[in-house]
Amino acid sequence: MERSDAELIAAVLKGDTDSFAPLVARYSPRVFATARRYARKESEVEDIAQEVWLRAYQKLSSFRGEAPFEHWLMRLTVRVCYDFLREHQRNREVALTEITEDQEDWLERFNQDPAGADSGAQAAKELIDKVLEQLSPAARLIITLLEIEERPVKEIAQLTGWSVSLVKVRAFRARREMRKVLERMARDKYY
Amino acid sequence: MKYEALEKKLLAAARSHPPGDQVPYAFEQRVLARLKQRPQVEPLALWSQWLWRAAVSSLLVTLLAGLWALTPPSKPMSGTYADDFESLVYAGLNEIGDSR
Repeated sequence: MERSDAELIAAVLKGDTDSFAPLVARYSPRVFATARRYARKESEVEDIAQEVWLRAYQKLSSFRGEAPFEHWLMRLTVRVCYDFLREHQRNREVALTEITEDQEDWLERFNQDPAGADSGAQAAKELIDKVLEQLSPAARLIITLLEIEERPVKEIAQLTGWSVSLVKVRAFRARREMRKVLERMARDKYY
Repeated sequence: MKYEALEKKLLAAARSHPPGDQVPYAFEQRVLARLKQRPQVEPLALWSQWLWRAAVSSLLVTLLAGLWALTPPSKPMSGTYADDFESLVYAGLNEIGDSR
């Protein structure tokens, strides 16, 4: 029979490090999926995931058990991802000149028929990835949580540790920042 | 270029391509190996933590002592008390003088 999160956590806190392995196995898919939203290289994704679990182990005694372990872990994951974004701010100001032919075609199609352009196309996905890479860490985190994962503001506040009003302010700034990046991308292409 | 529509299209593209949740083979073993490599308690970290705690409490004591020293006494020293204090201090010397 599978041991519950509470049983495993209690065992780890008593000094049984091996009981941490089932927790890692159980929740790593979610940690990896979240990390892949912020890091492109698979080696970076794994670094983020390892850092999440090392911090989780260190801070396990601060887990109160009032909310599910998964919630606590996801808060930790989001914060580690944010730290990662802040540490890797290089190449943000690079002009969006590396647009591939497929991406250029997609933009052209969108320009001619905005409603008809396929949002499921791989080129569109690659374009949004490039746009997100141009954003500041806070803006990227907010756009990802609010617009892509479609989480409510209150939940984002809990995940990030920011106040609700700060989330709203940063969301407003993030949208403005994203608009500027899109304008620059179009300007580079058409002017 | 309709930027608002472009923004919506691109965000929809991001939503329609969620990231994969696959985990590398034996990932939990690697995590566990790293955990077992780490020292459980770092003596230096513990020592510095104690020092910081001591520094904070020392600062508090210093502030309280300073406040107490700056506070004027509630009653001015009476002349009799000063005289008593002086005679007490010189008592030993007076005794030596008397015995000679």
